[in-house]
Amino acid sequence: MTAVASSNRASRARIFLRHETILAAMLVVALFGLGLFNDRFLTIDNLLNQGRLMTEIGLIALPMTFVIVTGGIDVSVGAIVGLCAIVLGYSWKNLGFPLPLAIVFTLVVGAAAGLANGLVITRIKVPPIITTIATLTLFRGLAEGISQAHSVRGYPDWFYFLGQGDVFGVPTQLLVLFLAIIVFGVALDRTTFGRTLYAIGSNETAARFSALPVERVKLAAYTLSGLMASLSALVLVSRVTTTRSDMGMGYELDAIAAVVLGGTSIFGGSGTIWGTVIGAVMIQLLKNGLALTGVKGDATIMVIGVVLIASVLIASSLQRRRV
Amino acid sequence: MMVGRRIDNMFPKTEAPIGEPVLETRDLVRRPLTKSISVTVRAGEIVGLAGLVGSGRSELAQTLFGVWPAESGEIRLMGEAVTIRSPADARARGIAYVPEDRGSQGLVRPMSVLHNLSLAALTSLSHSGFIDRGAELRLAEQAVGRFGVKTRSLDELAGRLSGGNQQKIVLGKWLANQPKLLILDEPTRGIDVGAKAEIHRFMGELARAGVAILMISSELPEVLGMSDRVLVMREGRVVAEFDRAAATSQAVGAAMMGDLGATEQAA
Repeated sequence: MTAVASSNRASRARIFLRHETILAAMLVVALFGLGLFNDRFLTIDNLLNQGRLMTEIGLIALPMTFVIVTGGIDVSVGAIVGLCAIVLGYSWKNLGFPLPLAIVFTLVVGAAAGLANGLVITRIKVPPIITTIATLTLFRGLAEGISQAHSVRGYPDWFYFLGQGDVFGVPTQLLVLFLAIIVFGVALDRTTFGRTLYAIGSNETAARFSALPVERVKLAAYTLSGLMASLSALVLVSRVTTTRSDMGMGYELDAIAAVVLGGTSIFGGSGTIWGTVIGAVMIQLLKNGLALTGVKGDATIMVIGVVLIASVLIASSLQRRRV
Repeated sequence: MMVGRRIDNMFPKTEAPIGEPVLETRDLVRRPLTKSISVTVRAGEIVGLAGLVGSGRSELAQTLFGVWPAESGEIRLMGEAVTIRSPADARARGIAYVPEDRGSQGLVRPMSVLHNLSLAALTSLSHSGFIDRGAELRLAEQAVGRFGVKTRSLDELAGRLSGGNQQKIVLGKWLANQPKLLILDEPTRGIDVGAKAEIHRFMGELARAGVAILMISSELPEVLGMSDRVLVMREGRVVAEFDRAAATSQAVGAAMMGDLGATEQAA
């Protein structure tokens, strides 16, 4: 059995290279296919606007890649987005924080929420899926409790630069996402932190026996996940100009779908930021292209589900053939 | 086990000058399986730790290595009292541990030979968190050359190599840190005769270079053939100690079995 597993993984590097290549090819085909059906799809304006919409999921999908590479998962990120949106509005409107301070406070709350997940997972050893399902309801409940169903509007104009402005024609948040992609990509590929993430996901015991700081690295991964969710909340609030407690609902599923679609093994130990980026782009373009072609929202979700299953099937059948 | 060859031929034990104590423990306790252990291992000395499965040998090793930090008692390294709370502490103090189960503890099987060899030395191979890939490659090439690891390339997955070559990688990844105390837990279990002899030869070389070696082995001929001194553990305690000359399989075996063994021998 171990022999099979090892030879399965043996060609891992090549498989995921191929997985990403296949995905990129599918992306190009989808782009032109959807472009053929609809002349509003393949326009610079539309694509940049889709970049805007993709950023909120993209920012979450990056640290989600780290978490899944360690063999964990974080389903509480959508709830952290909701909580952070409320914390921003509440601390600014009700507590009277100056908005810059409220922004910093929101980021701190997001990171703290992620840290709380990490502490429960590493110290109490509750499995990540259970921990984050529990905190999902906890954070969403907190958001609802604090907001009391009131939404907060009327932010100062400068705040909308993040979600609605652009720099030389490129949406502001897309630049933020680019920067984050580079930082996360380099961290995973080139640093001891990234190497430790892979080692944990491949064999946590061996990582520990190699004197790697397993607990600290896992804590950092979940904290980053919370921090990036709060950044996503800022972008979201700035884009839609209002704060509601149900914000970010379902974001965790889109983010996890992007990561898995991008070739990261849900069992940990392998995956790349590059793959996740392609996965996120793919999901956003599918949504948009289908919507423009007149497919209703529910059907779009179903199509994404089918694509996800197909991609996982293709990936695993490629692996099997190589044994 | 006994294949008719004389033990001296199978185990190329070489004499190394024995120096100052590297490791000394006093009444080291980590329940449930480490109960008041006092041992000393000197530079250049190979101390064999014999005992039955469950006698607490691996637990002692993992306490020294910080996996299960000691509850009470004293650990001295090079004469200095130290606290070891984590494997990272142990590594920083010059302790290396080659664990019992190569596949699940020693090696990250789905990782490449290159990444396995650098795994325990990442901190010294990186600058502000960024891995120096040139230095990593040099380290791996050196280790592969020194231990004669047979692999198609450094990118080959470690799990695809033979048991002996896997064990050489686990040994190699620790020697990159130039340890002062090397703890070997079943260093030759499940590997072929050739690789076994090579690993025994490396042990001799390391001892001659002044490394203190604590070797756990369930293979009595290996313990007797390789050790300068043999300690026997039973139920979490060191119950007997033999010099190389006094360590016979009967004496060590009887100590391992305890009363039960003594009665059987008497009968």
